Parts: sequence; C-alpha cells; structure tokens
Amino acid sequence: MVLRLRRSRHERVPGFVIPDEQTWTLLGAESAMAGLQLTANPAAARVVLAPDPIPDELAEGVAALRELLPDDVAIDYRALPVPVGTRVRDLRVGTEAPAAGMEHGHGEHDGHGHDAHDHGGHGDGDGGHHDMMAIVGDPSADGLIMESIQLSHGPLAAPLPGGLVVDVTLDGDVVAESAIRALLRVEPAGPEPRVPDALTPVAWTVVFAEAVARAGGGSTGSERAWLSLAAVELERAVSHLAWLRSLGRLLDLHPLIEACTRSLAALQASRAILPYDTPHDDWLEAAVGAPDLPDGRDALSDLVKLVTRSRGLRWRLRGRAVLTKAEASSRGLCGPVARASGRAVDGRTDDPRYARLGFDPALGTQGDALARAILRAEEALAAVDLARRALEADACPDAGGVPGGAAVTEGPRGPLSARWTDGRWLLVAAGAEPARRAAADAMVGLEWSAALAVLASFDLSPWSVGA
Amino acid sequence: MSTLTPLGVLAVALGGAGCVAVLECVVAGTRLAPATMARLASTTVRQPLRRPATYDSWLFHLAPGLLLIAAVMALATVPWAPGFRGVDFQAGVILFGGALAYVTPAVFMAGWGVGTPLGVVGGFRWLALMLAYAMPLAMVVTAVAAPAGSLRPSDIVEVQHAVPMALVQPLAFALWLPAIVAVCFLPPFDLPQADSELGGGAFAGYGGLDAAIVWLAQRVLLVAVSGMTAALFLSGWHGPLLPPAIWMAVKTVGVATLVLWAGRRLPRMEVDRTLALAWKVANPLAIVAIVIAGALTLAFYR
Amino acid sequence: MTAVEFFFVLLALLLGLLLSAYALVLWRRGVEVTRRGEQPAWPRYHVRFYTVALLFIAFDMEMAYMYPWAAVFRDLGFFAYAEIGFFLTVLGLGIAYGWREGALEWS
Repeated sequence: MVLRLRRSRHERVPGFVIPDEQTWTLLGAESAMAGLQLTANPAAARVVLAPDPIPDELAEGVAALRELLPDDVAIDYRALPVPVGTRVRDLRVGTEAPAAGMEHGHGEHDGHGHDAHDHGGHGDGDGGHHDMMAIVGDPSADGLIMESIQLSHGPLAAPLPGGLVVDVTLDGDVVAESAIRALLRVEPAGPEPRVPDALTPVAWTVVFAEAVARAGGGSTGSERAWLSLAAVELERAVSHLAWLRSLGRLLDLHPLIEACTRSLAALQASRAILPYDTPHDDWLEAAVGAPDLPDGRDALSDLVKLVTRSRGLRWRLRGRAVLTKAEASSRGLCGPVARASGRAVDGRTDDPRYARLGFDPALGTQGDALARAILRAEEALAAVDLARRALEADACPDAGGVPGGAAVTEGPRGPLSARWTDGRWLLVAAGAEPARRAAADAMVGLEWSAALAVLASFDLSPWSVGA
Repeated sequence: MSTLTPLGVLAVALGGAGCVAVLECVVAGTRLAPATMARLASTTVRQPLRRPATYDSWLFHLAPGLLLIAAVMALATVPWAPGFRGVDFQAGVILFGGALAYVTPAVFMAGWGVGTPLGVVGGFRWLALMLAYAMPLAMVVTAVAAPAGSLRPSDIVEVQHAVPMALVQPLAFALWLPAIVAVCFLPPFDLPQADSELGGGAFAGYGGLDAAIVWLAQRVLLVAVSGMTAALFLSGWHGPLLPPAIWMAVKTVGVATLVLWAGRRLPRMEVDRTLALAWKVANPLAIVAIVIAGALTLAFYR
Repeated sequence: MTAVEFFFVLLALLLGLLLSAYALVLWRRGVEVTRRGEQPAWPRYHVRFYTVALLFIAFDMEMAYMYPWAAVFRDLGFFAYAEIGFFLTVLGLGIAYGWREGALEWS
C-alpha cells in the first residue's frame, strides 16, 4: 500500500459536459480542461460545457438540465474543437439570459404551497426522467406481485454517451425490460458528405475520401493513404481510451481514470504532428516533416497491464453479459464486441496495407464485459504501434477493392462503409444496431449498477447512421 | 460531562468537517484553495432551497436535519481526552450505535422523499447496505467491550494502555473498518448517492442549505467514526511524549485518511455482492471474533 | 452555575436565534421547484433482500443480549463464556440454515 501525495497545479472544479466527455476528447478538448472534475449530478456542477450549436435532439434534455443546475452556474457554449490549454478558470460562470430557442428561462421561485407556473412535460431530458407508475400483473420470480418503475435514463446521463436513452422497467433494483435508443442523427443533405457520427469523425472522413476516389474510378494516392491509416489508428486509440476512462468514471475506479488520462494526454499531443481534425485534403501539407509520434507507448502499456490485472475491474465485470461466439455471429455483431467473443471479424485483415504493417487482430475468448474492456485496451496499444509504423513506411500498396464500390474502414466500433450512388450517399455502420439490441438484452435480469456496467461495456454510439 | 460539553462537541464537529475537507483535497492530489472552498461554501448556503415537484414534504425537508443530528450525537459519544470525554455515558458504545442507527431513516427519507425513480432506488440500496454493515459493527463492538468489562468508551480506552486492541484482535479490526466506511456512505460504499450510477441518487434533489447540511453531516459522521475507531482500537489518547488530545487527533486523522484513500482506490461495491459478503463472510467471522475476544479476556484481562 | 458557563449558555441561545432567523429568511425567500410536471415514483417496491432483513431482526435481538454479557463477562468467568458460546452457536446455525435455504441469494 503506497500513499502517494501528488501536488497538483489545479483546483478541481466540478463540471458537467454536454453531450459527453468522449465527444469532447475525440474532437481535441481534453486534459485541456485542466482542473475539471466531471460530475454526473447537475446540482453539484459549478461549470457546464456545451457544444455550439447543441444538437436539436438534445435541446429538451438541456432545458431540463438547466433547471437542475445551481442558480449561479451558466452554460458555457464552445465551438468544438476547443484549443488545447483552455483552463477551467477561463470558462464562464454566472447567470445568463435564456438563449433563443430554449423553452425554459430562469428558474422560478415558488412560495411554499403553490405552483406558480405550469410547464409542459419534460419528456426524456436527463434530469427529466419520465416516470410513470405501472402495475405489473405478472408475479416476479419469488411469487410476489409488485409495482415497477419506468425510467428513461438519458440522454444526458453521464458517464454514458450523451444522446443515448435507455428505457428500462425496474422491478425493485433489477432491470425487467430495457430498450436502447440512439437519439442523435445527422441528416445527409446533397452531394457534400457530412460526418454522421461525431464519435468517429476521422474514420468517416477517410471513408468519404476513399468513396469519392472510388467513384472517380481510382483510389487515394499512396502517401496520403499512409497518413489516412495512421489517423484512423490514432483515432481508434483515442476512442478506446476515452471509453475506458468513462468506464472508470462509471465504476468510480480512480487508478483507471488517471491511467487513461495520462495516456490520452500523450496521444492528444500527436495532433500537432498529424492534425487529423483539419480537412482531409490538407493533411499532406499539414503533416510535419519526419513525424515522430510522442511516446505514449509507456503510458499505454502500463494501462494495459492495469486493465488486465485490476482486481476492481474483475470484481465488477468478470462473467457479466457473456456473449458466445455463436451468439455474436447470429446477432450480426461486429467490432470489438464480436472480437472479444472470439468471432474474428475485422475489416483490416483483408487490407494489404495493414498486412504490410504486420497487423494481427486481437481476439478475446471469454466474451464477457471484462474481455471487452481488455480487448479495447490491447487494441489501443496496437493501434499506436500501427500508426507509428505507417508514418515511417514509404511505398504503399494499393488498397484493392472495386472502383465504384463501397469504401470500408474499420472504425473503433465496427466497420464503416460509404458509397456514392444515384446522387446520394449510402452510409452503413454495421453492427451498431445489433450491438444496441445485444446490450438491451444483456441488461435484463441484472441489478441496476451491474446493468449499467454491462451497458457501458458495449461502447454504444449515440449517433444512428443510415437510412 | 459538563455544561461546556455540547459546545465542545459542536466545535469538534465543525472543525473536524473542515479538516476532512482539507484531507479530501490532499488525498485526491488537488491543490488546496481555501479561498475557493470558502466561496463555494458561501454560495451554496446563500442559494435558495429547492425541492422537486415529486417530493414528499415532511420526509424531504426533515432528512438532512435528522442526518446531522445523528452525526453529532454519534460524535458526542467519542472520548477525546481524559478531560473531555464527550457524553461519558455508562453504555456509551450502545449510544454510539444507536445514534448511527438514525442515519438509516435519514437516508431513506431523503431517497423516498425526493420521489424521483433513481432517488427511491438509492434509498432502498441504502437499506440493503445497512443490513450488510449493521451486524458486523454491533458484534465487533461487543468483542472490544468484553475485555474491558464495560460499555463505557473511556473504560475501553483505559484497558488499552499497554497494547492497542487492533493488535490484540486484528480480525475484529478488519471487520470494523469496512463497516464504518459503509455507515458514512463514502466510496466504495457510496451506494445511496452513487454519482455516476444514480446521478446523485438519494441526495440529488437538494440545493442550497439542505445540500450543505448533507455534506456537513457526512463529514461529521466520518469524524465520529474515525474518533471512535481511535478510541476503541488504537488506544485512544495513550501514547508517549505528546499530550493525550494530540494523540487522539493524530489517530483520528490517520483513520480518516485511510478511509478516504481506500475510497479512491476501490471501485464502488455492488449491492448484492455487499450483502452476500456481509452475511456469508463477515457475520460468521464476527461470531468467531467474539469467541476469540472471550478467550482473550479469560486469559489476559482478568 | 459559574459566570463562564452562563456566558456559554447565552452564546448557545444567541446562535440558536441567529440560525432560526436565517431559516426564516430562507423560507420567506421561497423554495424553488424543480422537475415540474413529473409524477412521484413511489411503487410497491420489490425489496429483494427481505429475507436478509428477517435474519437481521433475529441478530438484532441477539445483540440486545450480547451487550450486557460484554459488560459483566469479565467478572463471571468461564461459565458465562460457555453460555454465550452456546448462544452464538445457535445463531451460527441460523445463518447456516438461511444460507442453505437460499435466503441470502439475490433472487
């Protein structure tokens, strides 16, 4: 037992981020928010960060949230990405005039006894849990007829991704039924491709570029291909680490949170070398000289060791929500969820570029929540290695594939594909909807905290892609 | 006990809560900023009270007060120095347990009173946690009181003038520590408020002074249980060189730091696993601890 | 009562008055209502651990006997030890029975 007293330069101010920290991390704002201590309880927040503009689907949730905030806390709207180095004390705290379009203004004060004002229902905002009483007719396992609670958890239920709503029926502490909805959606409009998932912007950008090139009859040039690959891998690492950190926040496991933050800090520095949040066509010009990725490898391997050996993670996650290989195939799952069950489906195995880099897909065997967490940590480490090798390599083999066909890239949650056909874009994120259904089914019969941990282990995206 | 005892206890409560706030910053590795903490405290206290529309009036508003009363009563039974023994009651450890028992209705009142689904769930989770910690707590107290032949805390301190009880009965000590963390609903046993799972849970509906009282009550509870740990297991005010009160303060701070540090290292416990562990492992071991205590008393403490 | 004690009692009264005044000010300021339009969720909650609660009641009654035992045991000697040993054995059998019957499982 070692008691380490670290002196920190920062105070820790409790804050609430909208829609969720993962989105901010992926768009470059991170330990940038030095000093922000994330909280899931709006009443405890002193600072609230929101993207500018707020997605329409979240407007109701934000309005309900505003009511729960302390009176002297204002929402600080920031256009993403936020410059690295922004400090908590640079964020605005103070009362603000209601923004146009929001239905709710300043909290009314109420004399005890009467309601001075009547608002319309709050629907599914967080904070605004829409709950009803329902008498369940079927007796539960021990023969008692009890009443259940209907609860809509989300869409701003930190540390789950913002925009994800879980409709559960709670029988006591235990989930009796559950359904998961992904609220956020980007409508495709015209020939200009729009990234449909803010949690994997780079992967989609690369897919679009390749689809455009394929529609033109060729494929992307060789130098840029390596950069694209490196960018996709770096984003995969950042995505997995951000997810692992949110899992740590859910389980309240501080060593994990700190290890993830250290690794993420090292990786965010890589944006200076390969600024993959700039437009795709500028990467060649923007990539600096002989790129040398900052050595996040030590922090990452420490993290992998922590995840594999952590007793706390094992207590909470081992043996939960086991998905066998057969089940993964029959449900049509892809991405790390399937790989952790042993189903070796990885879009990168057929890619000659990855073969040139010596890619070997990580596979798990147990298929439980712990296996999924370990797999993602290992994939993050492998991704950083691949990115480094891609930046150092020279000649690039052709990616192959049919000109005019769909461009496919393996994103952090599964394969992403795009095709320009008949004057519109066909976007598919295979495995996203099956993963949501699998998560909803896995939650049933578990006690609430276990159910949330299981839900988090699936790493669902709140953005729905496709028709 | 004299007329100054109540004021003394209140002074210890408020001062102790402040010390715990400082300790939390130290253990978390954040910078101590007294000005910010003072500003936060004043803004919290000056904000208007809040209540959710789903509330139950009596339960919601009375819960924080009951919690604070329970905490201060528990603190009053702790002996701090030969000259300041708190409420030096002949059955002091029973009064300590009895005061802590009032934490249960207080937390449940907060959970049920707030009326939101997750608040109600938080309240019931607290009940499950109480069923888990209450028996080990009570049985270990018996194991510690038997060698002293008395239920008065200062007598138990006196009987440890040679060897602290933690060394004589390590099993009892190992059972006591998780129980006191659970009674303060601090991590890893922060089931009723569970920031990330229940969004604040049983205490989410409070604002302003109510929230400040809940915060204060939790800190005073920690001071009370740490002080009682020092008195029952760590020889209280006995120690070379330093004055008794200083020793007591040092030991209390040590226990509180240990509790806060453990909270940061361990993930939150799950309710069903806590109950299973408590009734399958902790309670049988507590029975064994009482048997051991009896044997030790017959052998050494006559 | 000496002068010092009298002074402290007055101080306590004064503190009480100040706190009451503050509470009155807060009450007059009004209580802010959040989550308007929602219905309270007060179900007939399925308390799955009710079997554990029954066991707990038994053990709590046991504690009522253990406390006096702890106070007088030191003077009574081995006879009291044997008696309490018997008592604790019966309780241990109670836990074992409950365990076997599945009372400790989270159904």
